[in-house]
Formats: sequence, C-alpha cells, structure tokens
Amino acid sequence: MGLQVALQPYNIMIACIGLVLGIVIGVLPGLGGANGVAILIPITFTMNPISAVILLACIYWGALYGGGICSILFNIPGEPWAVAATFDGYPMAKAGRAGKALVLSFLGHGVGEIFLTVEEGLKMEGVKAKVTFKDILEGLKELVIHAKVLVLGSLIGCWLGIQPGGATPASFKAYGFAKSSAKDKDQYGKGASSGIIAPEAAGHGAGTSATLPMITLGIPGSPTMAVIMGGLLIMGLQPGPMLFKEHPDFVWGLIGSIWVAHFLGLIIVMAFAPFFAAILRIKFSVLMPIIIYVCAIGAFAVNNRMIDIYYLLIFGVIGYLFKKLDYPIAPMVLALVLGSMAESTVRQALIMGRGNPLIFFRPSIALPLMLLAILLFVWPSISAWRKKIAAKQKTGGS
Amino acid sequence: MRRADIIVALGMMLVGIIALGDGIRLGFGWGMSGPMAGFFPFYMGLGILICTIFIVVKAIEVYRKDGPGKTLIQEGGLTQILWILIPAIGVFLLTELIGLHLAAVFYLAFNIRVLGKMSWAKVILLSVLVPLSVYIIFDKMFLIPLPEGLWGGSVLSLLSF
Repeated sequence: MGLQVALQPYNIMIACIGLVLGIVIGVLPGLGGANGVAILIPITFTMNPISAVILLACIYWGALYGGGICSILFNIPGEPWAVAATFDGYPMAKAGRAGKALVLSFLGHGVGEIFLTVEEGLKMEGVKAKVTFKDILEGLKELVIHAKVLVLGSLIGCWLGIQPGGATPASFKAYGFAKSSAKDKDQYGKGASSGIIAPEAAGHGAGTSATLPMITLGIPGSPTMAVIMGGLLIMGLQPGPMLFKEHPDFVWGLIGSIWVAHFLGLIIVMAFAPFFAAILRIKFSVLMPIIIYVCAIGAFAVNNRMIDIYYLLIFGVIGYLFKKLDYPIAPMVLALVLGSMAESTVRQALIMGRGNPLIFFRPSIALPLMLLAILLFVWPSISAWRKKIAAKQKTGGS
Repeated sequence: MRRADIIVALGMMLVGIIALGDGIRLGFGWGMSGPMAGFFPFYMGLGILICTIFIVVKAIEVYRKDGPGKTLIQEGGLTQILWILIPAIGVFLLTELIGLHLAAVFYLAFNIRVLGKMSWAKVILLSVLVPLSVYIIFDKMFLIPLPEGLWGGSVLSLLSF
C-alpha cells in the first residue's frame, strides 16, 4: 500500500525536488538540515500531507548527502556529523580522487539508509546502479572490499540514531571503530576508502533511524526530525502509535517514499558527482572568498547578529592555531554538539538524585555505562603506560 | 612551535580560570531546587585548568630538552595569512556600512583581481554575479534577512530590489 502511494508520479517529482533542494542546502555551510526544512515548511501548507512530508523528508536526505559533498571537497563540514568525513575525504579529494570520494560517500550513505528501511519492514533489493563512469565502478568495488566496514558503520548508525544525539556521535564512533580494526591503519587521515565509508554510512543510517522514534513515539531523534515533527503537527497529524491506526496510508506512504527516495537520491547524486568534483578545479582565489562569504551568511543566519560574523573570524584564527598545534578536532566538535545537552541532562540527573553525585552510578543502567565511559576515558593513558612498562622489561630482561 | 604550544596552553588555562572564577561567583553548590548556576562552569573550568596544567608542564619539559623546535609559521606564510585575514576583517566592517551582499561584491572583486590576477571582465562578472545569486537565493527564496548595514537598505532600494 505504501509503495502505491510512493510511486505516484506526483510524489516522485516531489521527492526529486526535495532531494535537489536538500543537497543545495546541505552543501551551503551554515544552512543545515534543520534550518532548511524549517524554512521550507511554509511551502507545504498548500500540499496534501503525504506529499508535504515526502518533500520535507527528501530535503532532509538531500541535506545529508550535501553535507558530505562539502566535507569532501572543501574540508568544511556542512553539518556537524560530516566532520568525520573530512578526515579522509578531503585528503582523497586533494589527491585528485574527489570523484571516488564522493561516490564512496554517497554509496555508503545509500546502503546505510537501505539498511534502515529494512528495519522498517520492507523488502530489500540490491543496489544496482547503472554504471557508466569509471569512478562509480571503482567505488562499487571498494564497497565490496570494505563491506565489513560498511555494514558495521550502518549498524552503528542505526543504533545510535534511534537515541537522541543523532548522526554526529554515530559518524565519529564508526570512524573510530573502522580505524582501530583496519589493516591499513596508517592510511587513515590520508585518504583511506573505509575512512569515508564508515562515517558516512553511520551518519546516514543514524539520520534515517532518527525517523523511527519520531514517527512511532513522537520523540524526535535529531533536531531536524523535531522540525519535521513540527510540520506534521501543523498539518494536524499527531506522531505516535495512534498515527499508524488512524492514518495508515500516511505512515506507509511516508515509509514507502523514503525507500524510493533513497534510490532516487543515489542516482541523482551519482549522476552529479563528477560535476561536483569539477568544482574543485575552480581557482582558489575565487573559491575562497565565496566560501568565506557564504560562511558569514551561515554565521549571521543563526541569530541575526553581526557579532557572530566576528566570532567566525576570531574562532577561525583560534582554530588555525589549534590545527597547527595538533589539537584534535573531533572531541571539540563533539563537545560543541553535545555540550548543552550534557549540561541540562546532568542537571536533571542531579535533581533526580537530590544533589547526591552517586546518582550517576546507582541505577542498573547507569552503572555499567559510567564504568565503560571511565574505562574508555583512561584507556589511552593505560595502554601507553603498559607499552612503556613492556619496553622497559624487554631492555631490562635482555 | 614549542613556544606557541606553551602560549596557547596558557591561553586555554586562562579560559579555564575565567570559567572557574565565574563559577565561584555564581555559586556552585546546591541551590534551592537544583545545582546553582555556577555549577557546570565551575567543574568545567576546573577540568580545563587541570588539563592545561598537564599540557603546559609537558610543553615546558620538551622545550627545555629540545629547544624551540620548528617555527610556527613558515617563511612567507604569515604574509599569506594576513592577505586573507585583513580583507576578511575589512569586508565585515564594510558590511556594517553597506550590507553583506554589497560588501561581498567588493570583497570578491578584491580577491579575484589582486590575489587571483584575473582579467577585469572575469572579475566584474564573478563579483557581481555571485552576490546577486546569493541574494536571490537567500533573501528572496529562503527569506533569510542578511545584514544591511547603515546605508545598505537605501542603496539596495536605489538599485530597485
């Protein structure tokens, strides 16, 4: 039933428009998924609810792809979760293999999403794209070689996306896992294929699985999902279990169109991948001011204040210093994204525990998680320490 | 490079101390109905302080052992950076006067002409076309208001937008 709705020509057209709009929004730094969807909600007032949600959802997926494009080509993550993609995507692009990087990112995305729709109970068909470009062929080959990473990344993404927190932690986790279990570890940071597949698969998987709690429980799994949920409420559709009973055509239409949109999205972005790669050939002196210009727009648009643009410059300088001194970016990004959430939840926990810090350890769920967290925190120091001791023993023993 | 490491770490330490101090000022104990306002900044500041102490100590150790190390910015690097930074500051100051899009026209023109050394035709084409399309996309289609500056509004209305 859902597929019948999804495959109506009107809805397919809406899906395509949404995808293209989404990609444009995702590529522009500063204008992210949540903003883009929010801005375009008014367009949907005149449409019927199913098509409206299809449009919004496709803008969301498109933005996921677009963020990847920006990270790979310019080393500027278009979205927070795209930061992990910059680690290996940008070096690959600089090495002249931008097309391949883009394709890997899109394919990783695509498969990650297809995993998700399987979860939602639909039949899965293989990814069979018409291959005409050498890049795409190579990309598919690499996908098979790194199949384990792909699956792992997608699964990590699916799992983490269901929880609030969204795609950002998912992509970093996947990158970390892939790196530590890879055979070509030193390739990471220089353009390893799996360094792109992992975070992108996770990011897209997480992005898609964020829909699950939103539709079924009314709990948005990511900020963009919250905006889409707002759109639903405006249209008079209350997300939650009742939605399945009262408006089954809507829900299954949405799920069906998500599935269709994945394939559509894959095709659209892969068709345009060489075009995007060509952007890199524009001279730096033209590209750079344009990027700064658009970033300034993004900075201003958040709060409508000029001072944010000055912050842009100041933190740009600080970031430059940090990069020069090898301060790692990833923890900082995580901190920026999760910081305010962390503060409010710590607050809530402390209130629940009436000021007793042991509240963090008492509940049966909290205790193992806290222990795990502490273990992970001290692990690097411990393993470095153990290495030192082992080395000393070797020289002492001989 | 090592000196820069120490300096930046000291800078971070300063940030940590400021957070710490403000946390103390706001109170970091248990308030009426939950942690007081200074709770989070206090402990975060403490954390930063501890971490940066480690960094500074380590950095000074290395400095004492190995000397100053590589220079932070290579020959000619600083000039390049300034060429990018100062026009960027300039264009944003200009934005306060005439608005972002108009300032961007000048910014792009400056960059493409002076740094890129392209022909005047390309310069004018690009530096007018790009802000124009950005203006149409953001202001007309997405309806996001962008800084207009003191005189920007009137200049734009002169151009009948």
